[in-house]
Amino acid sequence: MNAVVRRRHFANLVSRTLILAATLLVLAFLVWICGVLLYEGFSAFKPTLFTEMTPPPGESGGLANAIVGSLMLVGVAMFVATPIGLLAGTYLNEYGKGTWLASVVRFVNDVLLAKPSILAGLFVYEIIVAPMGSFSGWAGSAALAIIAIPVVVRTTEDMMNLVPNSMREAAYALGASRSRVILSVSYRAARVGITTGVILAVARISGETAPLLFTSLNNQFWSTDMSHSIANLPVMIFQFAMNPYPDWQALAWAGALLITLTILALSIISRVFLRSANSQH
Amino acid sequence: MTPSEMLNIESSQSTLTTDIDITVRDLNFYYGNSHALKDINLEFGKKETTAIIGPSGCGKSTLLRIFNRIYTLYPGQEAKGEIIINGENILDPKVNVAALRAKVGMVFQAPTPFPMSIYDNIAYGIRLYEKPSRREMDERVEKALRGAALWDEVKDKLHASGQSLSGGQQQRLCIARTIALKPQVLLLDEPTSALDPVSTTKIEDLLDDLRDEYTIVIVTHNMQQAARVSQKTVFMYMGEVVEVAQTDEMFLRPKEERTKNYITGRFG
Repeated sequence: MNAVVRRRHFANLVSRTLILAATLLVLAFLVWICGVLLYEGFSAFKPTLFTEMTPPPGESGGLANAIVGSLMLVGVAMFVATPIGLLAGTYLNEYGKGTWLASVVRFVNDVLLAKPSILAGLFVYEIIVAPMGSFSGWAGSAALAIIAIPVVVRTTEDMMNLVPNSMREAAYALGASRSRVILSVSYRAARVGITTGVILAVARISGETAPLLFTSLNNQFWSTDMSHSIANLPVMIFQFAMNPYPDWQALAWAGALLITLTILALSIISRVFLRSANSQH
Repeated sequence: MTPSEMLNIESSQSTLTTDIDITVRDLNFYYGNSHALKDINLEFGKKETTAIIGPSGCGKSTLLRIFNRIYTLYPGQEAKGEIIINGENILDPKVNVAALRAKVGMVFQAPTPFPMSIYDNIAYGIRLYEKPSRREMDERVEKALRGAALWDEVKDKLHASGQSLSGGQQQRLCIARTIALKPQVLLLDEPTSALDPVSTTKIEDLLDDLRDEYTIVIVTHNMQQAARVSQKTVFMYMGEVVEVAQTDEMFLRPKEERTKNYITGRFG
């Protein structure tokens, strides 16, 4: 072996070692986090989580109010975010392609996609909470919607962009109008991808804490009134985990596990969705 | 080998009809500043198959895409001149594009079944113009599929996805979808270039059957195909029509040097 080859073998060995070490380091932390979460979460996991309210310190209780509150906040947020995101994504891919306006919208959307989520909370605090004088579920949903919209816009545009243009042309060649082509061909061809985007947006916002701190806050009691502060899992975890009471800490672990499992389930569902769609072609 | 042997031309090409279905007058086409078609003058006979051949980029697809005005989907593309179909200049902005496209159908290079059932693929186009009864629709779908020589292969799975068919079947589905609208003209843009030889033969046989009912304009890269399916051939080069002749005439005795060079494979 000459010197050049030996040097390359050595460089290869060094880089492989570094890459492997970096991967193991990342995996180690991930396994550690998941391990602790599973251990602590499952030891606090019991059926009463779903039936009892969050308790005062020292008493037993569950997360029923926080679970229902979270479902309501996320549900309302997606109810608003889905149509807006869908329409904006449709505009970007089907109408605005190549226009100045579309480039600006796409750029702003990318910025929104990357912004720290606490900004959404502060923004909604300024425009809804402060003028109305109270924290509310509506404000929480608004903040979550602001985070979800860019996700839906982006995936809708990307998925519609994957629909072959020849398919659109074929529909136009039969004499279909533009709205008809979009509704019956583009949406239909992209429906699985768009649905996946919506599911991923749900996964993204269901763990958001910072935007809710300034908007829906939290509530120790059962409430389904969206015009007042409302219980939710992320803020509950935040508050209970910071407290010295072991019961509360256990509930925080259980809540964290619940959110993690939900997001895991949503991710798996979206992958299965995509796979079944791909195997159709 | 003479060109006729090479191309396997049958000498029994049918005689040309004299009725004219499409007249192109002084047609110029621009992609932005690029002048893609120059002073095209052509006539396409009624119920006659015309092949347009020429090297890549010569403008043959561009010409085809003007006949149903599909080019208008893209800003910056502009056609000047006249194309007369049934006494009407279809380049007139006042022309109803949907009605034009029902009359002038198009089949594309890659098969483009819609993401819906075989049945709905055919019904899609019909529903754009009519609301037939369930029974009538069944008949129309069957007739279109028979017309495209696909019925026997799909009659037991009409509600399976159109995208589950093979490439050749998909292309015949697209032809069925087009003829379901009872068009007058069929435009085919390299309809077999994405298909295997067996599927190609089936499509060519189909084109032979369709010739009696439709005015067909087919763009093709494949000169044997032009020779097999068409009665008239147009040779284009760099945005201009170089030669128009009866197909056997063109392949046996090309008048222009450029035509001769192209069909003997010296360029293109």
